[in-house]
Amino acid sequence: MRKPLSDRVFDVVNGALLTLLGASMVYPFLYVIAISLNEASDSSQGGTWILPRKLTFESYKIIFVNNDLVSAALVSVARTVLGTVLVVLCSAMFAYVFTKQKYFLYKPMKLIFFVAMFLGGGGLIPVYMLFRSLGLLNTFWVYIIPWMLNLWYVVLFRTYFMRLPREIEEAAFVDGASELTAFFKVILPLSKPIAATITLFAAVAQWNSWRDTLFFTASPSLRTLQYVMMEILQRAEAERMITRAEMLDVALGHLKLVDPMSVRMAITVVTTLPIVLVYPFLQKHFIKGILVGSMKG
Amino acid sequence: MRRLTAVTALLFVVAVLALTATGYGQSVPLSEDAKNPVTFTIFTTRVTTAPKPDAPVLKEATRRTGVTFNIMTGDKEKLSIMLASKDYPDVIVMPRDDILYRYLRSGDLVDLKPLLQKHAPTVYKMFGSPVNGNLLDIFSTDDGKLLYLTENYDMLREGERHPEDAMDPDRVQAELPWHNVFYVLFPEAQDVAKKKISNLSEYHDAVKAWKAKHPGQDYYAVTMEKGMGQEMLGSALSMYGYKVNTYGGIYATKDQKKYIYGFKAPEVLPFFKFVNKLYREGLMDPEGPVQTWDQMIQKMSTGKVFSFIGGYYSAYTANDNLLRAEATKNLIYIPQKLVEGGAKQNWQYNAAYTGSAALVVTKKCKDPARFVRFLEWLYSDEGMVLDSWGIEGEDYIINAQGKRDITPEIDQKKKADSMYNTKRGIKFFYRMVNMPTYTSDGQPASARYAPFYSTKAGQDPRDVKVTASPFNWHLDWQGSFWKDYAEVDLFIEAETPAAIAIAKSQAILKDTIAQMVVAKSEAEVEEIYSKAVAKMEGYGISAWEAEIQKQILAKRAKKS
Amino acid sequence: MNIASSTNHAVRPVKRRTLWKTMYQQRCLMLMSIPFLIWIFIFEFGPMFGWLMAFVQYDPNKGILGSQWAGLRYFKMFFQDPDIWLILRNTVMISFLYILSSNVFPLILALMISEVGDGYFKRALQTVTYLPHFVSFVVVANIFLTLFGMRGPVNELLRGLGWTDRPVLFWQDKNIFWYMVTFVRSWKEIGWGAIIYLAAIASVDQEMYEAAKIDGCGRFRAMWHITIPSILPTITLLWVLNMAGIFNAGFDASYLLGNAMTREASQVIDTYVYELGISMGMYSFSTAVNLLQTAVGFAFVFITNTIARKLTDYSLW
Repeated sequence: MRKPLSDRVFDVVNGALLTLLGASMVYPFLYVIAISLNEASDSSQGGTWILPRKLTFESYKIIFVNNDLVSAALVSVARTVLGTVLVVLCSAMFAYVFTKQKYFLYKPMKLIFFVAMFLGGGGLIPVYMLFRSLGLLNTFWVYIIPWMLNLWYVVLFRTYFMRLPREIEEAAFVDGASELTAFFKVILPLSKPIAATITLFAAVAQWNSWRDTLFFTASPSLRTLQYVMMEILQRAEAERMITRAEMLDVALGHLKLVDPMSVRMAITVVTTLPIVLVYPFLQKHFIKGILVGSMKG
Repeated sequence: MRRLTAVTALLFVVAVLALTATGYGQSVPLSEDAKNPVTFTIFTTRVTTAPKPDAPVLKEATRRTGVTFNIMTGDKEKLSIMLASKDYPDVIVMPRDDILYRYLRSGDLVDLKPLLQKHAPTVYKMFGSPVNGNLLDIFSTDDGKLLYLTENYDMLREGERHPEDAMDPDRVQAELPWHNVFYVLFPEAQDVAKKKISNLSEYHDAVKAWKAKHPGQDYYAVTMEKGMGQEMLGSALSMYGYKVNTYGGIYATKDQKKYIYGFKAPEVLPFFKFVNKLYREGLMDPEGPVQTWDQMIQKMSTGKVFSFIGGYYSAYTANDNLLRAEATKNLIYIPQKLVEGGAKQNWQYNAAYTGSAALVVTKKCKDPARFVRFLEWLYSDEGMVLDSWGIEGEDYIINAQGKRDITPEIDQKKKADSMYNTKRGIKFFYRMVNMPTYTSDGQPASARYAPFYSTKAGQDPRDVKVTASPFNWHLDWQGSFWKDYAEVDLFIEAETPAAIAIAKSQAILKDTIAQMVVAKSEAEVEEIYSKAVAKMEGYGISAWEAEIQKQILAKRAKKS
Repeated sequence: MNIASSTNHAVRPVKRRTLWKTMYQQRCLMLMSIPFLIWIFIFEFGPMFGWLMAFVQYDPNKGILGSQWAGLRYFKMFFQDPDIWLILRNTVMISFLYILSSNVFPLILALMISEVGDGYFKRALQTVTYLPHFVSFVVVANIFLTLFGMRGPVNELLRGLGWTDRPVLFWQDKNIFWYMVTFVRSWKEIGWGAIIYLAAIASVDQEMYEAAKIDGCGRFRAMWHITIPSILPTITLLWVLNMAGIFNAGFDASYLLGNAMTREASQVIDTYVYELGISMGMYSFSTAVNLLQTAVGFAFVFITNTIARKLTDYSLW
């Protein structure tokens, strides 16, 4: 069937607008890559926009040389995978219970939930003391257990679950399934788009997190990639405020001034790349129509 | 068999006697401690990347003293968590501001005075020496306890002179002034001014002449960035003969009797009228008052900016960039000493700045005496040289004149790897405690000057030209460092009216100055200024001034 | 008393039996919820006493409970600042504009993307649009400050087109500062925000579109009558949740993009608290401000939720 003219015009205009927008989104990233590969003193004279003018890997050297990136990357991957799987599963499961208004704990649960959602937490120092009394400090679990459940994700999941057709679930109950079975066998498979979205959110949050490493751990074996990156960046920034002792080293060329901006750019590239690579695997769940088959079944 | 046992026993007794004879107390041979390994955990906010315990210098220190350091780094927030939860490491190196004040009052710190007296007589003597400003008295609490020492400062013995005062002819390159001054571009300044610029009207002439030479739109006679107000203010006050201290908020004094909030000095308004005139005459970068530091550095690095009024670090960064580009490699920003209003001197930083951060030992530390003995070892020639030079043969050599020196190969190694010192563990202890300036043979030993006297290879080619010209500024700043030990370590407790007044006043300072710079007329500058001062008075800035005054006078009274 | 207790006594066994029965029937739900409730009690309610810090003059040496009671001193301090109304106005305006744009633009983007046929273009677009989310604001701010700077490309373009003869000072005009900030922030987050809408659109039943097509329904009408109503719960939900940030205009944008000329429009609660020197140990004051931000956010969520329920029949809960 040939598309009507209006549709074709729409497609062209839409495509053009999206291309333009897409280009504007890619551009800063190209800029980031260019600056990260350009000599800092040259970048500081301006005019580097898309391609590096004086190619150098100095910024990447700062990142990759002398830092224990392998163990940090392993910790990062471990916390991201474990933390993400757990938070997605737990939040979804809890959200599922919240769709059952006949549950006898529904009302108190709701109250507890809202108080926690809007007034929960309460500053770094009480959190630190809590973690200490639970024995979480300086263990890998400090990355996982306190972030096992996310109340915002629960709301997102619940809203999604509420829109699913009731009949499929009911059919499962008629077959004698428990809620647990229904959740895993019926609800979760139907919720791929939202699960993919929240997986992405959670994974990015876990991957990017570094302050918990700073505050709650001391052992070098628990450092994450992002923390090491922040350390490198802070080192670069601290050098801008070089002390008198170091000024002489700079004058002698024994200490090279690192440009914080180009280091920041290199860090952006290094930490974003894994996310860019993982995204396509989640992406297929956002594409229209994936659900139709399962809906029909 | 029996005889053998007897001989062994005898030998043992002799050995024990010999050990006792050398005495374990005062002048401990550290080899004794060395057989008895101990580990201290040390938390520091002063280095972002700590050397690893297996860095050669740290390993050597462990071999000689038995002390291993487990170094953790972090920021102030972590310090306050540790304080709130009483979770301390053995030793902490922390900034000397309100956080130190809180630690001092916590009752969790070890009194170092008796320990130093007993186990570290050299350290005790140097910290207490009048040459170094009687630091022990200054740091002591009212009840006579010594709860902290400082780091990053060179200590002298009686009769020694600081390299800064001495102006050693062998010295390759002098430092830039520590604080805020007028910087101009060399050799351009020489071309337009012919002689050293020494007051505001000469500065104005030079700036104007330079702009006439470079009328292009992207040439800026003077530039600034949006956060530079404080630095400009500091430069101006110094020029008018004020002694300015940025520690605990900016205050200024002419006679060291009356202390005022810098912005309230009567010379501030005329100075910013002058800067505003530059702006209205088109001599100031029109984007200056709103641009970021990065944008300013970008302009300065092209060599198309003649001057700025601010801190050394901007000059340093720009100079570094200028040197690397072919077209600008002969240009360099140099500090000019301007004096106005009949002032005798352009005072720069307080040389009584007795070190940067504070070193404290917590009560968690199981063997503070042992730690103090380690400090005593650091003050030995062996310790000093190991910290500032590294390991002989690897990080330095003894040259033909019998002096410590670095070879071109070592120089190259250091140049190729900016992490060299961290990797080797060099200059770490200097960031833990003040160190002596010279070894007992009179050779420089401080981390600051160590390799500097020996290598001419590192000299900046531009600096050679500056030194040879009438614009040689190196001599200008001699004697411009002032000293007043009563003016350090002023603690203003957070969330008190004085602390809030200074925080709020400082919050509007930078923007007020930027607004004065771009004002449309002199009358408008006046209006902005008087409004801002009225606002600061409303915040209670006078209460803060009184508090500063009270603290300084109390300290001075205590000392005399 | 006696009567009451005997009555209770008479009723209780029945109740208890039904409760036990219900509990037995719902044991699976209990298994799926009680561990999480325990988690909430520990990790959300556990540190909540930290809010008390706002009401005492906190001294780390003495702990929260040992510190001197300060009552509402820090709240008063906040409201007694002569500039406070200006700051509150800026905060609310900047965050409101951002909430508005962060709900509308990503939705439009998601709708546009969903209209593109499956293929490489669509995949590439989806991957590319969320990239700016990962670029730190410092970098983004520098790009935009240069782009809209006096000699930046935007001014070059305007001059080239002959629309202006002197450069437009985008960053020095306090009248447009709110919009500039909103523009930069939405540009950075638009693709990231679209992800959740894409997920919602993905779950709309395709058959509805096919039915509409057969009925001769155009693209816009299909969008308006099928897509939007189908994802209305998500739209409402995000709108309501975002309202929690109404007192939180974000520190980075105002701090990095603002300057002396725009101060009147750029000063927000977060920059104010920062300038007061939170790192200088103002624990109690910053906790008080934080509590205020949280409470106002909660109130706004509650109000929007009520309105949403009335208007759309959908709500947070």
